[in-house]
Amino acid sequence: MFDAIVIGSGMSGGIAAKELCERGLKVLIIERGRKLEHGSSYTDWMQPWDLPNAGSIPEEELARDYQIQRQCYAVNSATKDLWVKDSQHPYETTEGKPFSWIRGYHLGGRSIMWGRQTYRFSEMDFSANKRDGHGIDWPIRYADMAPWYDKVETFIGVSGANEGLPQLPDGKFLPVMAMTDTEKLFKDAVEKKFPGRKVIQGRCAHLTEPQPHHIELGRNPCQYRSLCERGCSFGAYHSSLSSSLPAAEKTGNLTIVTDAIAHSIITDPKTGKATGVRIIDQNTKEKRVYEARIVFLCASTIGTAQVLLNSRSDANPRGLANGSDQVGRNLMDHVYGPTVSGVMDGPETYHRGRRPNGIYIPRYRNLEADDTGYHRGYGYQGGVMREGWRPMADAEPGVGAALKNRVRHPGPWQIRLAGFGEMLPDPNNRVTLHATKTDEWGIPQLTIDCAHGENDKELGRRMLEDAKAMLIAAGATITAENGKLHPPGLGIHEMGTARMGHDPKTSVLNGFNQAHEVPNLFITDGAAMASSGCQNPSLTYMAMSARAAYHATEFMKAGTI
Amino acid sequence: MIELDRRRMLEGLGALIGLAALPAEALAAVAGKAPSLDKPTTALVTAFADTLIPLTDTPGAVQVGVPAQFDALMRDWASPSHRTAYLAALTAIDDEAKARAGKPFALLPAAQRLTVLTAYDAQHLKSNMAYASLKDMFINLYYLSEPGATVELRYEHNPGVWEASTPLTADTRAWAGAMPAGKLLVIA
Repeated sequence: MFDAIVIGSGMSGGIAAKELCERGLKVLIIERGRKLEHGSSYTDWMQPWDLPNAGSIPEEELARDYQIQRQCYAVNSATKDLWVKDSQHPYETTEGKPFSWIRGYHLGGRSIMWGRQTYRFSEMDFSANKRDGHGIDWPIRYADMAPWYDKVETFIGVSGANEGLPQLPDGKFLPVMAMTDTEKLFKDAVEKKFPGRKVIQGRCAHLTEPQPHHIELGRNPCQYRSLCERGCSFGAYHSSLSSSLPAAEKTGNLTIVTDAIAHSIITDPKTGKATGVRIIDQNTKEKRVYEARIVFLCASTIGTAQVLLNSRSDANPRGLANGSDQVGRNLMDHVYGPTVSGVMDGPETYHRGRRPNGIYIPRYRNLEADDTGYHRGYGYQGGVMREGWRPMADAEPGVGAALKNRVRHPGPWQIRLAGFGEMLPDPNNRVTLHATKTDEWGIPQLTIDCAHGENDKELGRRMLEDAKAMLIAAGATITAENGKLHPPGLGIHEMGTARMGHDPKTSVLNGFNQAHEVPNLFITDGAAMASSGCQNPSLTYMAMSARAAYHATEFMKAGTI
Repeated sequence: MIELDRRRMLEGLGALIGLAALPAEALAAVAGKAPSLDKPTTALVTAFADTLIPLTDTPGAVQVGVPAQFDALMRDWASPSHRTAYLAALTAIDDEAKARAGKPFALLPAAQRLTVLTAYDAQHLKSNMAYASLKDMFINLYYLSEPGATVELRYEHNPGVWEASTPLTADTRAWAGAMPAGKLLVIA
């Protein structure tokens, strides 16, 4: 019997476990995937010439096992083992509505391969649903989250600069990474020609200057390698393996069980409370039950919905905590796909090191009120770097010594902007259990029925137009553009399937990430999100995890759960 | 490492003594796996590599072992249909040499190979995806190789610093390291 079970060891589960352990609870993490060791499980040691098949996964294997995962930029022959085989983990989508579910099943989850961009949601984001009536009102506001953002940023280490922007709150930052000379030119041009827009250095969960509590966990400063998605042996970016799990283990209160697939949460029909978790060993297929006083469900947005829906019982025929019928609904990702690149004039300078970060343009549309004809807004990630050898070699004809000579020299300044837009919550975008199909462990497969709505598509069009206008304003020549939206999911910011809200009739969780109907069940991954913002969401999941862990512990002390 | 060096030496030797005489079986034997390409194809691969990225003041594609790596990719990486497409793209270059110069590409003197490939490349790079993919593959293998990354270009596995503004002169070499192609190169 544990005090708490945390289902999932990724971004959210790692922080939840750490916080619960540090508050004195005996915590069990159950992780569906295999154990990974910080350092020895990584492939960041591979030099360019060590990459199997020059970095590419064999074509037949790719087609057979990675039909969906291959769409992700970070899938290559050095990272292959960090992504699920789609052939082993199938799901269905509605005809004509593709959804790209990108994931990895192993200790640490996607915290190993995440993009590491780290931004707070603002008061505007937490009040967005109330303002325009899409979705339901968040039961929390920025003030509820601010201290937890402070705490998590300090713990994980975030490089960035304070900018004083209400739509992208400042935080507790380590030294900012510098812009290239031509990024500075782009910043000056955009900020001069488009009052209200800002071009800032990206905020990322990398240790530019480790603090004593980072060093104590064995974490080291960023080496500027940009090999991050292979895992970082330096522990320079925050992941569960480098950071939250070691901190949790230091308390002596943590137990980790890997290879344990959460089948369902068990409840006591008399009290309605959760009593434990039923798991299936992924290798032996043995079934076991772990018991605890409280459960934190952090299986990632879609996985969390699956566990809840599969926790069906006579008392809860529609799944656990689902009296509202909102479990699995309101699935969101970010509106993602529109991208513009160009060539820009800049100084005769270069750069050294591979900055694992870029520039960021915070949202500037519909800040005070909706004055654009659509709702919500979008931001951009990007960068201005000198073009690398491979595009330089591929771009124009050339062979022999002339080709070598062209590729030998650093290329022109290349600017790239990629938009990330806020997707509106829509109850029709949902995941459900398949009526008949199961996976190899006998768990019902998921059906995902999700598509962009009209507002989402309009955001996509406007983010492309704006990006082009900003490049032109900075004197760049546009060389490529993509206006097509990627399928939802490929932003890898999926969220919303167990939303927070005031009313148990229309939401799954209350303002403490506590299930309305199961008082000792807390859900703190992306499932809890009532709206999506346009910022990378991991920091918000982590802050919610820490906040919920605090409240859960207080409720336990008070004897109310 | 000794085997790798021997393979490179053999390939370098092949370039010196005439590409048609390249000991394909010997190369494959030191690589530890059966060759996937026959002797004439290996000669063509080697001639293409040598012409595309020749030995200059730095090693060329043959010296760094690109032909054997291409052979390995055809054996271990390419799907059957893409293997056929890549080899067809090579054969097309050979056909061009026979039409223009009356000899297989591998049997032409270096200067003539350069003339043929320069014209072929100018005509086909933008319109022929199979050729563009083939060329990108050879380029990728060369610049990912240790000499390509560290002798021709510059590579630091652990830079340890981010210097956002450094001097750029006519002698500054580009940074190496794995990177995606400039445009998505997929032969269908």
